[in-house]
Amino acid sequence: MSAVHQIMSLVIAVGFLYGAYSFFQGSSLTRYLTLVFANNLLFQVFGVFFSVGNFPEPVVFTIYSLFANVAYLFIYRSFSNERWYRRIVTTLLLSIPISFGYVLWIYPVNSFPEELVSSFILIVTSLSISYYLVMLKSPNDIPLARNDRFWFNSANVVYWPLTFVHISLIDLIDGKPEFYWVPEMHNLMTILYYLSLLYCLHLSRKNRHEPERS
Amino acid sequence: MNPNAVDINVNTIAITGFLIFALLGGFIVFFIILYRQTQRNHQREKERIRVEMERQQLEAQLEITEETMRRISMEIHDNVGQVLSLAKLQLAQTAPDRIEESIHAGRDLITRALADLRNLSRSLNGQYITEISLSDAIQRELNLVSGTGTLECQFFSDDDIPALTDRQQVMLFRCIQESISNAIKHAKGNGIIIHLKYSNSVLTASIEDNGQGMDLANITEGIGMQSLSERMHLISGEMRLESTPNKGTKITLTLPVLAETTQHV
Repeated sequence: MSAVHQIMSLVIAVGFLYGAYSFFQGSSLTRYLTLVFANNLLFQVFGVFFSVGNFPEPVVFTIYSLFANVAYLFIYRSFSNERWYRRIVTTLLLSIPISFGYVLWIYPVNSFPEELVSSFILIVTSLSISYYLVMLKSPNDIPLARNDRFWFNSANVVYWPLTFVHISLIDLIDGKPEFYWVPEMHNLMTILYYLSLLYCLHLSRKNRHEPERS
Repeated sequence: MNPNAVDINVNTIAITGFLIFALLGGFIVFFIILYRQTQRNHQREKERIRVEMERQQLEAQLEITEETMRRISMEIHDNVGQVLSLAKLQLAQTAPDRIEESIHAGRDLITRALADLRNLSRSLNGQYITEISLSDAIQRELNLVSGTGTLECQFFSDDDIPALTDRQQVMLFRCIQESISNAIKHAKGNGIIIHLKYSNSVLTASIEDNGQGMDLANITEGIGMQSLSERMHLISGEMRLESTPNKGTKITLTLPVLAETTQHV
């Protein structure tokens, strides 16, 4: 386990603990992000520490992706009351069991579920970009630097498309020592992503305690 | 597989990744600029609405103050002034043999003037309105109006009218008072009917006159109507105006009353 990976696990653990501590004090984003951190922590525990045991990594990754996908969709659903936006999210929520069933049907247990992850990334990225439109349509008085939803959305807009690129590179760079830096770079980016989510948790908790400003 | 081909492919994808990163970063920066602009416009619009609301409230407040002063002046001139003039006349022109009778008549007139002043004071005193029920306050107001002999007033009220908060009661009463005042000033009719009903957690007061009415399509809402509407909004109520030329005017004031605060009086 590399040092970068250890730092990543530590950030996720801190995120989970901070989320658990603020669970009932923050907004719905706090609660959902705590679940996201919990899901990641479980993935770290089962996927990394016990990956050689009875839990093959692709299976763990499939389950992790499914839970993460549902959590992200619920987060975006809680962000807006705009009818068109909620309809999109609800439709995407319904598409999850279909894509999950499809993946289970076409993939052997031990292969990496690329389609599932790709569809997950596509869904989250589409929702992030759509949410920018929602924000433009109904702006509020909170400065962007202190807007938890903006940070969460922007982190997703940057992280998930780049993760998509990373996943598409995995097969090409696998076993090539000259490309060792690519997964490390991705891990660094993942650390930054989870630090952003941690900051979102903090903002979400802080905003909840301040008077509502619309 | 040709190793060079793989290298090219990896490089291409890496460059694509960098471009995607730059594109997404640029997109976020573009969004931030756009959002700040939208936020500024939104704040300007909110500020404009706030200033406009304050202006309307000020106008309504001035209108109310002016109306109150007019009402006090009218009451003093028409009632108290007349009665005291009469008392003065009575006492001034007393024949030596009818002094006792004149003093009695003068005392009665002064008592009447005092009663008129007391009624006027009560009618203007918000605290007094909260000390009695809304129905009683309306009835007293109509008695005052009937007392002038210019209008015939009828009042019908449900028995289960709920108790309101002090603010609701004063505001609603002032709106009813304003509606009566409008009927006296503009309707040119000879009767007012007021209904006070409570149903489905909504209190409804309707003030109907039999005056000249108006064509709602051809009038713009004056400050009086705006003020009525705004005051009802302040207590989460609504005002509806119905009128037909030559068939009178009806003002309906509705106020939702929460069940848990409802205390029947």
